[in-house]
Amino acid sequence: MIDPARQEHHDFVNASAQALGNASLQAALVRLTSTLMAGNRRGFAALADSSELRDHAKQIKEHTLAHLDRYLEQLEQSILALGGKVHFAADAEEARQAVLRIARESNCRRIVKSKSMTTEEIHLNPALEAAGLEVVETDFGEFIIQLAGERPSHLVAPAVHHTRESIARILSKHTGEQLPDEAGPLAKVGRRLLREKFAVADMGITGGNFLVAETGTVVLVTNEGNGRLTTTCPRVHVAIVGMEKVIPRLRDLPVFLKLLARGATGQTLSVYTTLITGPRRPGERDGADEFHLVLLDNGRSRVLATPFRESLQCIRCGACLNACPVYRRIGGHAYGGVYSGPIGSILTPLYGSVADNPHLPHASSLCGACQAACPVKINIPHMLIGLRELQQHEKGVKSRWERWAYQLACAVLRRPWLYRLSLRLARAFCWPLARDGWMRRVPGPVAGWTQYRDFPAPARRSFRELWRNLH
Amino acid sequence: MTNSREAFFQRVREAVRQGNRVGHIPGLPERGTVGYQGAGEDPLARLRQEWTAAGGQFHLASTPQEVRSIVRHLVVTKEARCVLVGDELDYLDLEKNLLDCEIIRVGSLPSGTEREVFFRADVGISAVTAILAETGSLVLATRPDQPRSLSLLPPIHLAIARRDQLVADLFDLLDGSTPMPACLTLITGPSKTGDIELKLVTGVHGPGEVHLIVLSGEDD
Repeated sequence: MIDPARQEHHDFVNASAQALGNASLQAALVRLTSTLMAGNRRGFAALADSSELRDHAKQIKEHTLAHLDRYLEQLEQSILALGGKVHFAADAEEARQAVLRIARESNCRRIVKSKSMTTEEIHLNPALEAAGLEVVETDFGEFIIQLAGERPSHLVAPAVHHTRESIARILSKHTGEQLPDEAGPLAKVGRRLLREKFAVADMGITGGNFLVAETGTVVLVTNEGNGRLTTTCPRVHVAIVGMEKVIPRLRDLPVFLKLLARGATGQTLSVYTTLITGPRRPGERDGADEFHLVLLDNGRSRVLATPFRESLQCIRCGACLNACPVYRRIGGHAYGGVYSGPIGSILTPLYGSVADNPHLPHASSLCGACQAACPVKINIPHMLIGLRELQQHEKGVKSRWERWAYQLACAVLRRPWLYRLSLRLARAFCWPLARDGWMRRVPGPVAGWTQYRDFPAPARRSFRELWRNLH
Repeated sequence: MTNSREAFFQRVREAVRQGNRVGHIPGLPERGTVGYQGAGEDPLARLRQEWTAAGGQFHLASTPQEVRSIVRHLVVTKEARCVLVGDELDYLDLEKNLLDCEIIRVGSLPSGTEREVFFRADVGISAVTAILAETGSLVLATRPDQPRSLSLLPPIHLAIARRDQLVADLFDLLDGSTPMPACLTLITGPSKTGDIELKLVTGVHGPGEVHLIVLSGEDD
């Protein structure tokens, strides 16, 4: 099967150039990322000991990952005791099959979904549709994306690349009415259309922000309320969650809730924080009769065994995207994977393969803004460098010339006399090309270095020479 | 099924073992007081401030009579025709003041017929399990006659709380001391979306209007 996410990978540079040339996307990205970052700063400033709390959250995640097998078993026991079911999926295909099996056994035909990146990761919707099931995304942004046949371009604002005009066009085409391009009326149309779907749906699919091992609870954090509707109206609830989302105890949950909304939007808490603990109880008048949890591995256990384990601490708030000078210019689609931005540049190669995503470890200036913004202080730059190192060992990624160039550089740097000599040579070579100390263009195999920026010519006198003259 | 479970755990166990060899194995950190914000000198003021900042509407009442008149005022100005009322609110005798609209108690609905009413109601009136000062949130646990739909499907949600239900911090609420209900929801303001050019729109899925009435007791 052709992986749709993989199709675009080879053309990162082209996709970036296109994004840079798209004026409305540029305006939308500036608006989104600056608003969310301002919220993020405000949110964390209002939290008295935010740095300590972030360290605390990180320690909980480190501990949980170091005992993940134990906590997953505890989680499973808790859910079984509540009358729920747990399905274990090694990869995307097994997860899709699990959902199809549940739909078949429980006789479900109409499915509503609340926003979930994990279901994007496993390309769930096409598989469900191919089986003749109706699937409707109910997050307003995701609904627009689904109607347009696209992928989300931001972790928390999936339709950021759309304007109100384009949203009005998409909804008008869907309803056959001429809708005004104003936010309020458009959202009302969305509410009306989706209410009809909720009223008749028999299965609700959600992701999960956290899983509590001690109580068997799935935690959903939303602002619109579609997550609540998805778990309230249909008779079957299926939560598809990456296995790294488990936390040990209920009293660990506030640590993460206090960080998640602040990291994402700057809210102290999102509008709805919903804790679902098993299926509906006897005598209750709504909520799903059946509760299923699909636990997804899909490459995570492979990552767990390596020093890249830290990436499994991510709580998907999107703060690193908003802080990243690269994401802020090119947006989510240019990255080519389901997860975009700095964290996506790590997750996509790790869950897939480094060889399939050669551009991603380099889609960063390593400025460190992502790590500074991360509510669990994930050292993203360090891992990007680690991925670049992995690429060194992969055949065919680096050209033979490049490898030789680095070997030559090593040889030079190990011998001071050779270093001094080459410095003199470099100066003699560069000065004729430089104007005011900058080179606009360099020839030959290193021409790429000046394709997008000027290159500084070596100083007239090196530090060592200046130092010698001082004494 | 059993096989895929076994294979799943086998992989995780092996990965944990390999990964743990690389680094240290940290213990679960002691909770201590890190991250505890509390609600300051005046928790009720903090609640009011956070709740209204999130877009919720706040009312203070000192007697059941006052609660009734606030409810009546809202129902009349919103021209609500069908009002759905959850349990634990009998003491307020809401029907007394609302003669001109349809008042339906959830408890009076025959089981299996609720759905149509849930989708039709204009206002849902519920009690709360707690009110959270730190974040300005309502906390609702499901019970047989306090369904999830009550605070979700009608376009207007009205929650009635007593002052003694005030909890300072999220850590006080989720301390693991009480068994979990099938659904516990924290509500912080009206339903919101910013998906259209980041312009804030309320009521996209859940209620676009939420009112909190805190009954403070006559001696306050």
